[in-house]
Amino acid sequence: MNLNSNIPEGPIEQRWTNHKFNMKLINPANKKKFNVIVVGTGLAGASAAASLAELGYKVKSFCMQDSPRRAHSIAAQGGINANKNYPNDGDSTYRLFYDTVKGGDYRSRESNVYRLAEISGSIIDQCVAQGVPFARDYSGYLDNRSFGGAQVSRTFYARGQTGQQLLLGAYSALMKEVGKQTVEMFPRREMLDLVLIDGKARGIIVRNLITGKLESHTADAVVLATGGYGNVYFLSTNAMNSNVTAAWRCHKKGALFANPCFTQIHPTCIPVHGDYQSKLTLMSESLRNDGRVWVPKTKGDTRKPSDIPDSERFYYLEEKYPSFGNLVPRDVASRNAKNVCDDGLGVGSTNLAVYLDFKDAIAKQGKSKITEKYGNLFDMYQRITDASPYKEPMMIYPAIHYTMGGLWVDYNLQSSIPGLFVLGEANFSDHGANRLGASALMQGLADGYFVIPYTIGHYLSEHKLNEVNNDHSAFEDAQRQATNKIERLLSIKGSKTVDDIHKELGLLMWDKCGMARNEAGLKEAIEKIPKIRDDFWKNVNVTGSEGDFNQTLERAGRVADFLEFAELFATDAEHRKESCGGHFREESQTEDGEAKRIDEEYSYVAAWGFEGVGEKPTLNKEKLEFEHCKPTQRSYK
Amino acid sequence: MSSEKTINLTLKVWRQKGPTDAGKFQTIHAKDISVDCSFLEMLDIVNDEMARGDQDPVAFDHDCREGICGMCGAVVNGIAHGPQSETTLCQLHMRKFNNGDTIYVEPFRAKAFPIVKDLVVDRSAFDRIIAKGGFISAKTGGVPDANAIPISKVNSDLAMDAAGCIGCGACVAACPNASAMLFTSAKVSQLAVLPQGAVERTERVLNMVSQMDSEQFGNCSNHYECEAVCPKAIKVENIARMNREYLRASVVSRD
Amino acid sequence: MSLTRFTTSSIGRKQTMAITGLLLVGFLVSHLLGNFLIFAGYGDKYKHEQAKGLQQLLNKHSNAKQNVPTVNESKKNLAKINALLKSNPNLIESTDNSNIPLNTYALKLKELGPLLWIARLGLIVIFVLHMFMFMQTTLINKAARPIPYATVKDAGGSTTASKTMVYTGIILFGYILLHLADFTFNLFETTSVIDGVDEGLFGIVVNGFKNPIHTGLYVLAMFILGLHVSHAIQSACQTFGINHPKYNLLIKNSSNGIGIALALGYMSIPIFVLIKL
Repeated sequence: MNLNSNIPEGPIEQRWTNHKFNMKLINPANKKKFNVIVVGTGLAGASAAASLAELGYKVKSFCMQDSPRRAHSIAAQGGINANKNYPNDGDSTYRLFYDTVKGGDYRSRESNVYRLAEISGSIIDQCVAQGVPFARDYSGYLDNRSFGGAQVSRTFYARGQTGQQLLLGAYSALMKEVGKQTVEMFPRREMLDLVLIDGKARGIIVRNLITGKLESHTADAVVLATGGYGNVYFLSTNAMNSNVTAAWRCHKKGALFANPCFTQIHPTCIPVHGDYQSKLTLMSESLRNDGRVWVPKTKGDTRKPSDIPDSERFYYLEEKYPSFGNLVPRDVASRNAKNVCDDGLGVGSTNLAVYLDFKDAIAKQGKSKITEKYGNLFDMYQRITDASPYKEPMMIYPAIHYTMGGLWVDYNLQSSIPGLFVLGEANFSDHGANRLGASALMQGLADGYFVIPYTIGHYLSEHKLNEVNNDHSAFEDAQRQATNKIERLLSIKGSKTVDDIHKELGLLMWDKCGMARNEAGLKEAIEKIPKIRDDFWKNVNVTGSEGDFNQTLERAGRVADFLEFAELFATDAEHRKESCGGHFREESQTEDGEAKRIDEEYSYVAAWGFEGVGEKPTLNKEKLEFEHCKPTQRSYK
Repeated sequence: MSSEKTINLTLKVWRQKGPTDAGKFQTIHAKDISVDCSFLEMLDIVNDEMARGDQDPVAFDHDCREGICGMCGAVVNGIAHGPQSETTLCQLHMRKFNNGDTIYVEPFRAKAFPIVKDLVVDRSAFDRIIAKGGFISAKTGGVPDANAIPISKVNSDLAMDAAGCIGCGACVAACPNASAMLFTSAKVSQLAVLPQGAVERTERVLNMVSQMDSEQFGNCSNHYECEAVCPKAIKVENIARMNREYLRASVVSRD
Repeated sequence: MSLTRFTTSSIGRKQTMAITGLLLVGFLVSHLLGNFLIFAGYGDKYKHEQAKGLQQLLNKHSNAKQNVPTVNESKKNLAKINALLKSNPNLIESTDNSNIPLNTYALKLKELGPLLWIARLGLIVIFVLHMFMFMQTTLINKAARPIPYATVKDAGGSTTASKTMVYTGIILFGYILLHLADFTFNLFETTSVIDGVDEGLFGIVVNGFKNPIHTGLYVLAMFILGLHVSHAIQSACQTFGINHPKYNLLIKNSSNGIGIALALGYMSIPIFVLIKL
């Protein structure tokens, strides 16, 4: 397949401006003739639906939760980056662009990232106008902080709930349009298929999660903003219902899936503590600003942490990375935690945890200062673990947090299927192999507020779209297939629960496609995943019926897709024999054990095409050009 | 965190097939529940066992399990989100219970929150209230620079206090009158203390209250149970502010 | 301001209930101050006046001229005079009791004529509005949760007073009817004669409260009134949006204080009369 990324010509600073001018427009009076479907109501989906409706398009918005306000963007804690340079510390569009490309370990598209940096300031303006209560200082102006080791303070935040506040802002914009009846809202709907007519995306099939009925919805374009696939690992910091289904069904209909192996592992999460555990909880990265990470120097040291003297503690990050210390990037911090645990130095009941100690910070700054900075996080930690970080060190371990990979899109955020646009975490575009802290919120809102409103108009004006009805045979076929799949799931009546199999898959993925990957492990995964999939289709027991509110059935459908997707994931990880960002191949490391990129061979986007379940996918490569940010080896020593 | 302690519980869980069906309590014995489980993980274990016995598992809403999405919630032993204050059901841990306890688990009950199934309720009334004015009508683009309007830190913090609402509905569930005043007032308040929200303040409060009333929520009679159960510590000060806003709007509005 | 929208909205109803409630508290205060005049009926100064009046009355009807008693003698003389009056029942009706302070107060109010009726009408309107809003609110509240919880536990917000507003309200309504029948219309035909002297309204009140059951009922009702008012005032403040962390404790304490003061004030009268017996 010929991958045309549609990157505009000209100097990088002018590309988006020129592109906006060159794109065709739709007469304001004609916009109401176009129907757009937006799936997902997170930052990207809600902002897109609201903005498109404001322009005059007829929008249908879908979410699987009971309200659009629940999307998992809400859980983001830290903040959102922007190029405002309010603190006068030398930030600029170019610096944000540069940092993001470098942070992504040179596996993202320069033009997209530049546009993202360029738009970032407008996002803050927009959110403030919506009433998002960003933190302010006593002057009444907006406050900024440095985040994730960035050297400028470019992060805007709303206490520890930035994602929530931004999402509620986008949600309110969406509800404003719902109130005006320019957006028709469909909550508790799960997208089960994309419908193509004449090769273009013309609608979707959804299941009404309350009644169990399948519904067909037609449109002139479909916008997918359905988030990431972190739950392929079963345990992740994602919400319980986050899934790959919508993206995967689009992939099966022809949309290329790019860089699925690029996943982010967040270093500071509360460790796994039992096999009943349903999810992992993230503790904000900001904790590493004052907490010191350590493990005991000797194996099997079961003393209470407070009884272990300083001389017998291994402050491994500080020793290994004297200049960055505890503030090394997420991927580095995560991998080192794994290494010390692999060496048998881990703590806690599972030996899969390291200490994050605030003793020195409390001694130096006083308890009240620490409470002011981290009080809510400490409370949250105590609620979950019943241990007080004021008295004993926190135990942390890395966990799956974000997925950089996603459906391949061009500069217009259009997938390889005409009329299917993909936004936010669901696409692959801006973060390369590793996402910087406070950049996910920026990208989701940039896509929804400021990119899609322009590019979708261009698509709609350029293509002749005949009217379609939902009794078109393509819809009937898709509905039939979806029904068949549901009936098949319900008819297996095996002996395993959906979670049994999901956990088995998750463990395999974590072991073989987790923080460190190697050829043998990946090959093993590629061999084992189809077996688990077969087991699922033979032995799973899905209780209840089709025409009912049936959460087991919902989960079963999602796990079925994860089982297909996981194979692609492992295949991608296996094929990329370099280390970059969150993708660490043990075969490709520097002498010090750091990730080593192989730019000559792998400086491309791996966009995979679907060939059938169990069939080897086809690899399409989009070569990445770096005109401005010259790839270098990252070093945090 | 790694105590191996387990407890046995008797659950009385509300089971109801659909909105119009009659519901009843089902007694379920939950055995060997680790005290480090969250309440929802305990329900997961119960459901897992029911599924193995080919029984229909207990339906309950949940998503983020970090206490921020607002999707989960049930009345546990008479208290919305259970006995631990400022804690959503997903963050409530079983160490708050004792071996041998009987735990009643009921859905949030209100006429405005019809039951979908078991513990799952339909809270779309909240969305309809927001759709009537819980926003600032700033369209995308064409807004001033974020720092163009300074906002005092005090007001900004007040707005943030109110904006922390997760829309879980516990306030309605806990209110003896099933009133939605705390929810509605949190949004009215957030936008009332910010200069950006001032433009639409009159219509906002009138329209939102009118929608709230038409959703058949009860009236506030200042019990403050809502504040006591709110997992995000939203204060009844917001209700007072909305009362003030409403009176003001009633006087100055042109219609 | 659209009155219909306001009065049919949840907040408007509450605010109407709050303002009428506060006005009723105002009435309660003035009513109590008026009622305190009962104590004056027991005062030495009044006893002296009464003795003087009776002495003059007796003097008019008999030849046994006696000097007008001094204050100190009044009490003693009063007994004598009463004994005399008892033997001359025809004198009772002609006793002038208008100088008993409570009766004077009642007379003065009556003399207001139409003004009194306007005030009474106003009070009735306020009361009916308060009741009407209360009933509407309560009905809506009951309908808002058709299926009750199997277990209900306070999470710590509500108080006994707040939880019982509906019931204390209903009881108080019953009490008010009883109270009107009792003293305003004297439907129970309580005698106004004390020790052979017709003491008018004062006599009715005193005779009424000499009954311990009667007094007990009133004391109970006033306890309920106190409970109702103690929540009502702080609730009304909240309903009008008066809520500020700096003043909330003051509001709460004042509200409780006014409730307690009103209850104790009103209770003091029947208890005093009963003990004086």
